[in-house]
Amino acid sequence: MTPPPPPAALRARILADVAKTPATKPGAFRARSLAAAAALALWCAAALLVLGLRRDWAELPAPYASGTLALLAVGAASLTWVAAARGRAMVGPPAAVALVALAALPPALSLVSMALVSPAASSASVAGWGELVRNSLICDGLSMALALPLLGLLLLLKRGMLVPAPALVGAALGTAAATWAHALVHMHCALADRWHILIGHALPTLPLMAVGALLGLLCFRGRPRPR
Amino acid sequence: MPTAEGVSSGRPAPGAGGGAPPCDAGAAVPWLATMANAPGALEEAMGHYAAGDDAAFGRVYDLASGPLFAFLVRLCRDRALAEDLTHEAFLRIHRARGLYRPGAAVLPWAYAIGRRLFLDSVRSRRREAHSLDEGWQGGGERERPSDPGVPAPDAGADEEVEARRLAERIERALGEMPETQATAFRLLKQQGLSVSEAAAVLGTTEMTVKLRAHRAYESLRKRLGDVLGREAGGAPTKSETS
Repeated sequence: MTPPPPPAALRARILADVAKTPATKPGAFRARSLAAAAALALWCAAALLVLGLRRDWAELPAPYASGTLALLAVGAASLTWVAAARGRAMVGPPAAVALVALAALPPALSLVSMALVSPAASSASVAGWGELVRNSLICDGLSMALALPLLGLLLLLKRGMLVPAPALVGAALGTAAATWAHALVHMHCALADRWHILIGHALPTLPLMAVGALLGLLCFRGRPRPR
Repeated sequence: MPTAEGVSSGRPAPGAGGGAPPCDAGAAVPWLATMANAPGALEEAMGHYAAGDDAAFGRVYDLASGPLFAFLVRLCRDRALAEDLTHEAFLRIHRARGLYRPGAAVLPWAYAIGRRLFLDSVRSRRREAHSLDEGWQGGGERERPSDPGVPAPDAGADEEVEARRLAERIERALGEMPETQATAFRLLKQQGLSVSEAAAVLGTTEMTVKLRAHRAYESLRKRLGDVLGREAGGAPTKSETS
């Protein structure tokens, strides 16, 4: 049977409640996005100021130095755009798009950053596996420290929005934050060993993806309604 | 001015049952007629509201409340709860007005909010039931599936009675399916959303929506094979045709 229309009294009740309920201001999402972009730029600038550029940066060939950085930045921006999008129906990115972005971009960016190791960048090669692991753990910790505040920032950007796939969107936000961190670490760390780049620069994407998924569930999943 | 060009309004599609279950596809529904006459009107009204025109909310309500309430009544099978959830859903739309993207489809958004609220209420009920004594009947009146519809003005005719029985059987069968399958079926067949819109509401891929709706239809066909064969001629689901 066709369900009946809502009762007329409901309209009056809702309109009365709406009149006294505070709402986000017009243009709130644009303002939020601009604030998030500014905060992201500030965070990156502050990180580079504190950590410093890699010591061989000036000696690196321009295509390597700026090319890898540009690819990482474009990848990070794309992932951020996908994860933070409101979508065509205000419910975030289509799940298929988010899945493809998650499955394709991080491995591609990792491969690119491993493949584009410049001969001029081998100023600090790794002596053995012990040193490799130690150095990689330092970069892992650095990546996590750089990415977690960005993940918080991206979660704030989506505050109050409906997310039907919270784990997926959270994972995409975590991956976006990890990719921004990857770009920053690339500008700071001079170690050119491919294994180090994989373990120290690219691998933190996986735990950050998991943390993002968890935080997505915590932040965007509905809560039981009090009755 | 915000427009809805290139964006589906989420209106029940022509030939998709017009917001009605398969048993009474031809029933006249006033709000549906309003929607059919105003493609994109809901998105335009929401765009005005998001831009700061407070008076536009009434229009948003008038255009969206019918389909949303119908969806929630079918989902909850409880009119009182559906009214509560409709109320809360519109408050959430209101709170998020500044986040609205001009031109974005409003109905799938409203359905997604409504579904989320419904799932939250189910979880809340389970939690309450778990915390109470075993002798308690678990929410008695609210748990009992209520009549999903109201009698038509000329109810009493054999066809009406038959249609009502069939609708009740369909709703009962849907109620016993996994929620994801039943909701996929409802969004496609009863609310008339496209596969991509239903995927957005459910937060999953279009392929998964097609699969869930297909499973729901198969399940319905097993349970109501005799009637479905007579009424619908074994018509494939929308998902099968898209």
